[in-house]
Amino acid sequence: MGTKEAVKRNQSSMQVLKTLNLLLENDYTMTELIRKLNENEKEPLFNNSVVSKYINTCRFCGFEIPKIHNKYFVASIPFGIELTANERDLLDDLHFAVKNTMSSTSDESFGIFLKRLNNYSNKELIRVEPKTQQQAYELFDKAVEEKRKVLLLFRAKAVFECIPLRIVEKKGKTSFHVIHDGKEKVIAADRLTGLEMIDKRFEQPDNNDTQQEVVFKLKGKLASTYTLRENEKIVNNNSADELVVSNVGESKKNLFSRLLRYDKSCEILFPLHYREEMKSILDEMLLNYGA
Amino acid sequence: MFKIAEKTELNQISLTGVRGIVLMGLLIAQPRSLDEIRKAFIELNIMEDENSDDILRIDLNTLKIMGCEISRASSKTDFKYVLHKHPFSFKISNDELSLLKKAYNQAKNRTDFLGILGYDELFKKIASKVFDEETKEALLGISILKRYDIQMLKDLLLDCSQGRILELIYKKSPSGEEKKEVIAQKLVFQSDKVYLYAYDLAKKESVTLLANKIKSILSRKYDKSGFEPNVVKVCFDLDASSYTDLQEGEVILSNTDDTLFVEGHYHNEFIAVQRILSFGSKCVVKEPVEFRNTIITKLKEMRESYGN
Repeated sequence: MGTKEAVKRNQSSMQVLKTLNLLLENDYTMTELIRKLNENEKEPLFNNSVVSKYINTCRFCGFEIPKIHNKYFVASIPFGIELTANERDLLDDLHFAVKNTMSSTSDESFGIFLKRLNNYSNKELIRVEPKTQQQAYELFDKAVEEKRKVLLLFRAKAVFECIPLRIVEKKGKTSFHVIHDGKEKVIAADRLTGLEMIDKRFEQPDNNDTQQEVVFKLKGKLASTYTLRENEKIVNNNSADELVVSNVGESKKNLFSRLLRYDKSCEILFPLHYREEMKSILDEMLLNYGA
Repeated sequence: MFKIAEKTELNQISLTGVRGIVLMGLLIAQPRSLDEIRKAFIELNIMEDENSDDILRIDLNTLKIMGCEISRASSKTDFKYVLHKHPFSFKISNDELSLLKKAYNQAKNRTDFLGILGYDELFKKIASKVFDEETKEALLGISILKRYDIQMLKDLLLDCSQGRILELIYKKSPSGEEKKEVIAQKLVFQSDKVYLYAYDLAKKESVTLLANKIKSILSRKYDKSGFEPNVVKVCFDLDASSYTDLQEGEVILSNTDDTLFVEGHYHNEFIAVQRILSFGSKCVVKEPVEFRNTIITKLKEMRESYGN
C-alpha cells in the first residue's frame, strides 16, 4: 500500500515538472498544454483541472505565470537569470553586431538564443487589469526611460510592438501614447490585457560593417607592439620593424578612424580603393589646414 | 528562495510537485545532505517530522527520472547529494558560443571600459546558470577581461573617481618591477587593453599604465593638495555630423548649422594627436597653434607614405 502511494506521489511530481518544462519552452494555452502533455502518455492523464493545479503548484514555488490572451507565460523563475537594464542593452548590442556583420542564418540563430535566454530570465511582463494598472503604468514609464520597445497585448487578441512615448489622458481615459508601424497612436489602457517591455531598444547605434578584407602595413615600434584583433591575421612579418596585417569585418568608419590614429606608422596596402580613399582623406585634411 | 506553505494552500496544489521543485532549487543552490533536505522541507511545511527519509529518496529518484544527474551522497561528497545536470538549466550550444564570441568581438570595439566590465559580468551571470563545466569555461573565456584581476579594476575605478594617490608596483620589463606613486585619473579600454591614465608624482608628467602590468597597490590615500590634472587642451572645428562621436572631456563651445566648435581635454599630447587624427577630414585644429603645426607635420609624413 505504501509503495503504491509512493509511486502515485512520484507521478504527480513528475507531471508538475513536465508541465513546468513545457511552460519554459514556450507560451501555451490550456488546450495546447493538455494536448502536448498527453502526447507521450498511453492514456490521457492531463486535463484542465489537473494542469491548473500543476500551474498553481509552480506559482506556489515562486514562478510568476500570468495568463494573458488565454496563454500562460512564465514571467519569472526563482532560479532564473536576473538581467539588469544595462545587461539587456549589452545583449541588444550583441544582436545588433550579429545582424549587421553576419549572415541572416547567424542572425536567426542568435535570435533563437536570445529568445531562450529571455525565457530563462525574469521578464518585465504584466497583466493589465484594475488591480495591476498602476504597475502597468510604471512599467510603461520604465520602458520610455530605458528606451525599450513594448508589446501591447489587446483584449481583441492583437499584439502590437510599439515605441512607447508617454501616458496621456484621452476622453477621460488613461491611455498609452505609442508609435506603431511608424504611426502615432493613443491606446486606452482598458483595451489591453497585457503589457511587456521587451529587449529591443528603439535607438540603434550607427553601423556600416562589411566583410571587406583590408591589408595594412605597420612600421616602427608599433610593428613590434601591435596586438592582433580576433578578426585580424598576420600576412607578412619578415622584418622586426614591419608588420603586414589583414583585417576582415571591421566597420570602414572604425577602421579608418583607428588607422589614422597610428599616423605615419601605418599604411593601407589593399584594396586599392581603400588606399585611394585614405589618400583623399589625408589630402582633404591637409587642405583643411591650407597645407 | 521558497515560502513556507500554509496548510490551506496545500489543498490547491500538488504537495509532491512542490517537493520536486523545492528539492531541485535546493540542489541548484548547493549540494545538500539528506538531513539538510529534511530540515529545509520541515521548515517549509512540506514534510512532517515523523515522515521517513524514504520520501526524500523517492523525491531524489523522481528528479533523476526527469533527467537530473545527481551523484550519490558518499564520503567523497561529504555525504551530500550533488546536482551535476538538470533539464531546467540554461544550455548553450557550441555554435551559439561561437556566435556570441564573434558578436562580442564586434561589439567591444564600440564600447568603453564600463561596457567591457558589463560584458564580463553578463557572461559570468549567464555562466552561473550553465551546468556543463566545459561550456561554462568557454563562455567565461570570451571576455577580454578574463586574465585581469576584476576586483583590482573595480578598485581602480573607484580610485579614479576620487582622484586617489596610489603607491603601486608596476611590471617594467619581463623581469623588472618599479615602484610608482601616481594620481589615478581614468580607466580606459582601447585596442583590446585596459589602461590607467594617471599623473606620475616623481616624473611630474601624465603617464599611461597598462592595467595588467600593475602587480599590486601598496597604499591608497586621498589627494589633499587639490591637484589639477595637467591636461592638453585643444580647440577644433568638427563637422556637425560627427556630433555622436564626441566623448567625455570634449565640450561644444559654439556651433553653426554644419560645424561645431569643440574644446577637448586630453591626458597627454600623444593621446590628443591620436584623437584629432581619428576624426579624419571632419576636424580642423584651431588652437593652440603649436599643436596645429604638429598635426600638419604628422599629416605630411602620413601622406608621403602613399606617394603621388
